[in-house]
Amino acid sequence: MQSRSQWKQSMTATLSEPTAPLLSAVLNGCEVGMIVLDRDQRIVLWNAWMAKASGIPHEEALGTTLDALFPQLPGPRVQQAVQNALHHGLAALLSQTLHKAPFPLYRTPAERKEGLRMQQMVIIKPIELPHVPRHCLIQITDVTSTAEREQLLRQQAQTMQTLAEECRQGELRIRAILDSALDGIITMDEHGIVETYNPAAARVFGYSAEDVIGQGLHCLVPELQGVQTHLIGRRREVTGRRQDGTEFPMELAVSEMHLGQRRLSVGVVRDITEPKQAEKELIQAREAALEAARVKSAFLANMSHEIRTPMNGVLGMLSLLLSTDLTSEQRQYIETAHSSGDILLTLLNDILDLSKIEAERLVLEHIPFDVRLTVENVVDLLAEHAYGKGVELACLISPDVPRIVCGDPTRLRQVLMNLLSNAVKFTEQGEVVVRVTLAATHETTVALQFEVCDTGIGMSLEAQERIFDAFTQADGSTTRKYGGTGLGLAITRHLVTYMGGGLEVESTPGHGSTFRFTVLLGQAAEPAPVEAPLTGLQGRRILVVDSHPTTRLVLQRLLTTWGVQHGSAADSSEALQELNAAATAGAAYDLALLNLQLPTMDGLQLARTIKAHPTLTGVCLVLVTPFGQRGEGEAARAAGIQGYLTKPVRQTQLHDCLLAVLGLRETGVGQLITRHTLVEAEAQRRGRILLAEDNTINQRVALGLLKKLGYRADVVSNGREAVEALAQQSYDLILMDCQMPELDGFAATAEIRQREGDQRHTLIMAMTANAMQGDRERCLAAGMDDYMSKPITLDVLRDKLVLWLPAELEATSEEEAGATSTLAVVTSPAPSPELPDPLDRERVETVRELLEEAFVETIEAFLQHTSTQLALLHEAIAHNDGIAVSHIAHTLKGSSGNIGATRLSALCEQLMHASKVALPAEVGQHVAHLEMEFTRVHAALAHICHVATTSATTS
Amino acid sequence: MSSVPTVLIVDDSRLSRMMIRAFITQAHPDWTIVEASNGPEALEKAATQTVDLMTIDLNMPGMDGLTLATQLQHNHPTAHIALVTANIQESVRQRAAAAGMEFIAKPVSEDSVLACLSALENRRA
Amino acid sequence: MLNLTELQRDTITELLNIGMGRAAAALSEMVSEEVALSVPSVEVLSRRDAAVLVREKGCERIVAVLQEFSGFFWGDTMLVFPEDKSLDLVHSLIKDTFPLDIMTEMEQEALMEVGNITLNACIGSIANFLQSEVSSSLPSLLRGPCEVIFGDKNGIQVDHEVVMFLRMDFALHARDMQGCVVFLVDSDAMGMLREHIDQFLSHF
Repeated sequence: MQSRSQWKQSMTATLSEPTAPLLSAVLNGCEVGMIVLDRDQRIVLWNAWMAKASGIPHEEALGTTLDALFPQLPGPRVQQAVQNALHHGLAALLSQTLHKAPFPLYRTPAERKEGLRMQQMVIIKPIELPHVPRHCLIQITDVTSTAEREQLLRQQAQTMQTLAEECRQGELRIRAILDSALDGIITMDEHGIVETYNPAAARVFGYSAEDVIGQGLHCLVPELQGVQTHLIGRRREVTGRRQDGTEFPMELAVSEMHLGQRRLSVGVVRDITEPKQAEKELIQAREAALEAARVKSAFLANMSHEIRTPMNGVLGMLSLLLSTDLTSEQRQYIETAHSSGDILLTLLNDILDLSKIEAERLVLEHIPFDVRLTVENVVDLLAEHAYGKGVELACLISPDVPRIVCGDPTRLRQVLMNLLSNAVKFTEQGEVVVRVTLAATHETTVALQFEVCDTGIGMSLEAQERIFDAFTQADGSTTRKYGGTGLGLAITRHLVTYMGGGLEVESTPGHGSTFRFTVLLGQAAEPAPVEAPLTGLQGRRILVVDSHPTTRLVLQRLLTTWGVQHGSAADSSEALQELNAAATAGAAYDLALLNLQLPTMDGLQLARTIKAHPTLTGVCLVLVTPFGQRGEGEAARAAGIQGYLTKPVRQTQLHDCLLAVLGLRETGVGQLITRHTLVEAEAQRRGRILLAEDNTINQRVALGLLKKLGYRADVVSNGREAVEALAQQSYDLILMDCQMPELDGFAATAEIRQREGDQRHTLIMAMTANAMQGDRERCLAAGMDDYMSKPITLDVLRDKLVLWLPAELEATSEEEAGATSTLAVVTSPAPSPELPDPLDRERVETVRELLEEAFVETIEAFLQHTSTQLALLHEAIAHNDGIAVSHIAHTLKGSSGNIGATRLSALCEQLMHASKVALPAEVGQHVAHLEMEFTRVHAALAHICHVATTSATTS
Repeated sequence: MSSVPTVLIVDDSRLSRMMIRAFITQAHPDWTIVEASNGPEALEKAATQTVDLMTIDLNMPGMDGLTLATQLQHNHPTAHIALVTANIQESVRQRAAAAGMEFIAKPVSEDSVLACLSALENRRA
Repeated sequence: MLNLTELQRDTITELLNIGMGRAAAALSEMVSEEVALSVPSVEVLSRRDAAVLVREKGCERIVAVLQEFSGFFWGDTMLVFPEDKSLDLVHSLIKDTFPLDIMTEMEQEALMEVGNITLNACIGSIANFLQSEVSSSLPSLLRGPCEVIFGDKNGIQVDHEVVMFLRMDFALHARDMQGCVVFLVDSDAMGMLREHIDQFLSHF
């Protein structure tokens, strides 16, 4: 084995003079391009790398110049460098950065095809050779990958910079947002430690960022300790604490934020001290407003009573004044005052009503009542006014309208009253018709449509829009001409709305108006028993003679319902014609219904003419008149008329009258069938009523009312008798006075109920003088079915009876408008000139009517009774027995009120109240006044009785 | 103007002065040649005699050649001025041209000097 | 040996002038800006002192393109400028790519080429003038403190070596950049140069 030095020695020769093959191998094996140019720039060396990269083979390259091979060598740089090298021996470096690819060289054929040159670094050096001029060596290195790498680096750097810029912008933006936000924004780490804290937060809390960052959130919001995960996603109110230690209400909304792996939270805080304060003030204001409203409502409720009372007093006094002896001048003044007072009272009522409605204090009753009755009653009230003006008044109730419904009869009456009175008021001629139809039936309710049509002055479209506004009238001038407050319609509309409907109006100026509304009413708990169909008049032939088409229509409809064949005539001559024609045809009329007021010949005259006629004399005649004038009945009878009715005619009344007249009922021959006779006949069919009342006067009055309504009743004087009477026979209804001796109403009821057990349940209705809250409940609790407060009015009694006595559904009683010939009208006696009239003349008259023959007797009984009571009064005072005094006064109040001694009644009431607890000092005075008043009453009544006795007539 | 041109050579390099002098003398042995090695000296010498041609080296310490040249031109509007400099940047050439002066690149050669002289002669003629 | 006559010194200065003239032109063309030149200087001192002089001009850390030359005389020639401006210079040469904060390999080569061109122009024109032969090596790029670059040669510390230090400053005002071209010639070479100069001068 050779040593290194030996090897070296042997190689020296080779090394110093490497062989050509070795050199050639090296040149063609190396990975750089080698070109050698001679002094004339001819290529003397062209290695394999060059051939491959340039695509120019060795043979082709040798001997040529670079220019020849590469005609488009860019720039002079290469040339210059070659020159420098050859002539000056200066070496040159051509960097890729400045020259890219001076020579057209390619790394792969593919790149060649695409024209992608190799990136080159070119070195041009002189090389010295012995014995020849300097040569030039060109070495070319492929720096493509380096270049690419650097390019990539640059691109990445650029991207980095762009991203960095974006990031910076983003950060700036976020910073700007945080800085400019009006709400405080605080970010916290997983443990609730504050990481960022914006200027707004600093403003809220007073702490600077340095103070807070790194601390827990609880420094700012003490109630929060640690991480409150339940806070996240919610906004809630907490208490914040400022740097200065003050606490304040704060709204905190926390959300979660994910930043890479970290879960942070962002809290948005808002100082809500001001909004909270505003809220508090708002609540306070609201409370105050509500309280004010409450106070106002309470005030209204109180005022309601307070206002009406003195008004009634004023009006009452004025009325009383009117019944005294006055000069015509005085009378004129007082009448003016009275009518003004009336208007004022109406206005007050309307205002109070409206206030109540608007304060939503109005509560509708929900009690069963008779629709038909209610409507007919209202019509009745306006009959006199209407007929007085010559305006016809009619009422059409469709047969399918149920009799009994549940609702508020008072309010319905109010509405109808308002609309009807308006209609009558604004109609000078023609008619006013009320129509009631069934609009819809539901499960538990019915919808009834009411229409009030008139042929009055009508109103324009603008007026129609205005009229429902409170305080406005259709036309300002109407106030002066027609009077009224303008509130009525507003209230009416409200009421209708309350009752589940809407009020509409149609009108044409000069042609009249129609007011229409529908109300929702409850169906009666027990369906109204089906009326026995009125078949009595089936097949009869009846002629209707009336100049008003509407009246004719109304009557004809009714007659059709009853199966009557009817004809009509508008005046006397037509009537005669019709009657004759029918008789000739063999289909004579059984009955003719004549209106008193006919053109040319009036009803009476026509009656006489008919009766005088031989063929017609068998025709029954019934006269219908608007009023009930004195002596009319007699005149009618004299004219041969068999029936006499006043308008507006009630349905069943008409039916019964026709029936009676046609002789199918036994009511006696030669008697004039009037409503009263009909009533009497009816009375038998009504229910059995027992009246338990200890006070004679009250007994009489009650009986009178009942009779007027067509009922008869048995009377007992105390509870014990009532119980015994019931044991003897059954009654349908007991009217039970609450305060009675022996056994009072409550105890009697209790006993009756006990005795009844499960069996027959007798209806008991209480009559009580106390109209206080809780009375009803007491009565009902005692076992009674209903109650009425004394003094009992006709309306209430009627309503109650209709309600509770199902067998008898129709009351055919009338108001006192229009007396009959059975009673004489009592003229007013001359009162004492100095003092006001001790009697309410109207009331007395009512009583008289009710009691008829028993009137005088009753009065005498009253006078006697009162004297006794007064004596007892003195005794009680002597014994200092306040309770007894009160009790006596109470009794006297009732009876004197009933009889029409209103002043006496008022005085008794005063005494009653004053001595309830203890005898007042001035009790003597009270009694003195009482006695004085009674003396006057006594005188007045005596006078009346005397007159009555002397002028009583027979029926 | 005298019949025999006078040339002022301004250059701080003695070699440069020598070379230019040599070239001029070779072509025109009779011409008067004055030398200055700095600005003030040049001004002084130019003031005392009529100079037809001035060669001024741009790159001198103290007053730089262009300022001197401008001054001399002002003083001697009729003189032909050639700026001589090794600084052959384009900007320099342009400055010379703008000043209305000739430009001779260093190193000066016989040719460039002679060319300048003939230009002078043409002017004179 | 190290002494120079005034005329010799003058001649060398002029040589530098001429050389730099060319060099500046070449550089100006590459950077597309005017290159302002200063008055050349000739000193004879140690390499280390030479470094100090360069440092005083504001170049503590420098980048230098070095070429060795040889011929009728020999030595090192360098194109020197401050390191912090070097990147700037490169980026002014390469216009179209996205500049980085570091000098890449390619960019270094570009710098070397700049130096190469400039120095070659200088050396070439000197050689031309003296009608003598001189050749240069390929450029290499040095970076570091002045003292190291001037005082270190191939790993050997030579900062005590006394040289003829030729220097010409230049400035690129638009870039607020200054640099210089230096020649470091050892005493032997300096002798050779002296002889050549004398010979040249004899013609005038």
